[in-house]
Amino acid sequence: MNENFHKSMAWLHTWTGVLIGSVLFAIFWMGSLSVFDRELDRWMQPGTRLETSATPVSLDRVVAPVAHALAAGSTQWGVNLPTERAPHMRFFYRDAQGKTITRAIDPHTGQLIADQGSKAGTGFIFPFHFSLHIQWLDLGHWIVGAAGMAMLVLLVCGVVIHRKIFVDFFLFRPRKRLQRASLDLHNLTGVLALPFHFVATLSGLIIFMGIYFPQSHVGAYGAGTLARDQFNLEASGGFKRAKANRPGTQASLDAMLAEAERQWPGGKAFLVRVWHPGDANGYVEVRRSYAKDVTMHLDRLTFDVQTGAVLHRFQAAPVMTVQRFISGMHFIQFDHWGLRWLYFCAGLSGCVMITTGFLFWLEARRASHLKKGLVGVRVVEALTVGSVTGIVTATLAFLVANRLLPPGASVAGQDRAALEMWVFYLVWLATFVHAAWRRASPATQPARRAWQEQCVAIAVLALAAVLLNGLTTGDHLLKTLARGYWPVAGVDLVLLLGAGLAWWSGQRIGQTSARRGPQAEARALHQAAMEEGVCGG
Amino acid sequence: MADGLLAALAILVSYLGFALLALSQERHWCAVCGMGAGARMPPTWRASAGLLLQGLALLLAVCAQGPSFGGLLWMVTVSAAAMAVAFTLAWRPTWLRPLARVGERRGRQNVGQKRL
Amino acid sequence: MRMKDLVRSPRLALCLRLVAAVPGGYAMAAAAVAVCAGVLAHAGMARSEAVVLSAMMGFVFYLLWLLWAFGVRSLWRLWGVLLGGLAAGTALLPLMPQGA
Repeated sequence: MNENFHKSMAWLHTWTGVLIGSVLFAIFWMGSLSVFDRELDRWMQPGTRLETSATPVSLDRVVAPVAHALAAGSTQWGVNLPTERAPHMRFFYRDAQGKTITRAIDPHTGQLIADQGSKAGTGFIFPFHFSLHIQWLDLGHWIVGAAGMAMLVLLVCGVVIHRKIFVDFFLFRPRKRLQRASLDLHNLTGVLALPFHFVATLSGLIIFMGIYFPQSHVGAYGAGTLARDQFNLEASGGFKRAKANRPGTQASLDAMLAEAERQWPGGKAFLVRVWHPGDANGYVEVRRSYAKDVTMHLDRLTFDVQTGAVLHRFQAAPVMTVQRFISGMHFIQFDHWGLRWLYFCAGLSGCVMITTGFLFWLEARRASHLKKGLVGVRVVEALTVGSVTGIVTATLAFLVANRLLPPGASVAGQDRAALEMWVFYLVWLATFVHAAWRRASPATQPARRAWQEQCVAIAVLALAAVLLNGLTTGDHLLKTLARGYWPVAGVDLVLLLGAGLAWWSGQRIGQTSARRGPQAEARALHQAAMEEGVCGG
Repeated sequence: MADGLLAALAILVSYLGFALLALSQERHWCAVCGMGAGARMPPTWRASAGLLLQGLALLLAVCAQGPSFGGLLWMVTVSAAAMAVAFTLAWRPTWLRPLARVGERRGRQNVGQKRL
Repeated sequence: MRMKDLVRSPRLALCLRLVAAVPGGYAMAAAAVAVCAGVLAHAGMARSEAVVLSAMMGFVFYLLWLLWAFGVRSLWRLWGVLLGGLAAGTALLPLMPQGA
């Protein structure tokens, strides 16, 4: 292969990695956690820790009264039906200002569940993954999109520059020095999980093709909002009927639901939405569940609210179905615990890939930057520590705050859910400050103290989270294991495993620093003294 | 139950396949069998067998869970199995010694022919 | 000669390459997606299908462009293809038959 091309690709891989690595770690970390976002919801919102109901819930008896009480004058209301991973019903409606309000209903009792005051997994962790919670001008989406494209570039040029890709396929030498071991692990996690990394990244971009290529319809439909709406209608379906502005009755929702499930082979519904409730021209939309398929169907049936007659059927066309299959490969909304755990591990392997990439870059450049008096390594090292152990620490602080904040807490106009997020961001910021303060000393060695102390923080916070869950909710690990309540037991177990891993890592980092030996220590100290200009000769 | 077992079998088959693939490389062969294994080159049939076993794993996954879930499962388990082999080689290479002995006699016969 | 000397400055050369690769490539990809969708729709594919297919391919196109933009030696060639492509896209787009 052309040497110049190889050099260009190596340059591209290095620079893209160093510049975007922090954002990519955040995306991979939050993405891995999002695999279990609903389980995190159960952990962080104890009021929703319900058993899955074996009998289907009656919409007419349970939901209609709630709708009548809360959403009387609303333009639309609907309900997400209970599933294995989300055992409560999620009732939503549009208020007078057009905002969507969501409330949880216990399907066993029909009672509203109190607002848990937490955004939890589906409200904070998951949106962080695809939009970094930066809503201004949709900037968060665009940063994630750019990071996604950068990831694809990194993967391809990573493979191109990996000359001995087959010879080194299984190579991992953990006992070698840090630079060698990091590169081995970086190559391992990069190459062996390459199908996952590539598919996850490309599918993630494809999910948001409407945002990233907003003008894609211009050639086929023309420009303007009408053209865009027409495209959306033809691609994703939809049914609109104007209000009649006279009152009407509501036929049995349960009957409509049964009819929909009858028409879909082996299908269940996941959503029922009433448009123009109370109006004679109202209609009921039922969406088909994709818990048993990879493809996230757009299948919907629309019924007349007064007669229950089918008004409209929609099914995505073939190419759109492919887009929904690709999206489904990323979203993994289906019920499959084996795949769910494998995706979690694969996502974490991506986090390891990014971290080891940084570690390799830092060790490879440490000596030369020191000699040339460049700050690159110092800056990137502080950013790396904050981006890796920092964001993990912040996430755990988020969980601990969830258990410690009293219900209804409010500070300076920020409600409880917002306060939890403030804890996340403030702790994350603190980890960067800590990393900058605990910079490498001596400068010829990695910033072991920064890494070690943050590892200890992770271990302590993870353990605290498990203990606090037991103390504040009474669902301690022994109880959830005995009862077989896996969402909460699973989170507690992973937290304990993480705590153990972080503690062990902290110990190892500390030991390596002690094991360096007197000669190496003296050499390092001499180097550091020279750096500080205090030279003895 | 049956598809759970078939899926587990698929993972095992994939792991064995990658182990064989690794054993077809001199460095890993020496790590597993000890340097005293001599300058004996590992036979090349292991590489082909390793790849074939990946194909078998795909077949098993698809039989167990259908084309879409099976294909997806295979894509992710193949990575997990390969990494498991890499970690076995890094920390407990001797665990693969029984696998290295598989087809050993055939290998010894081939060595004579290979030394050209 | 002046132009060549200008481009010899490595920092400027890098800037030009970055602009052609990242925003330039995005513009190319967006234009290619719109034109491709129009062409496919004209060739008989259902309009919404054509748009979805082109948009999905758009990411792959952008990836290939990024790799080529950083790999190609000649900056002149890079900018030539970029400007030519954008010109072609702008010229073709109004020609697409639109509407039902």
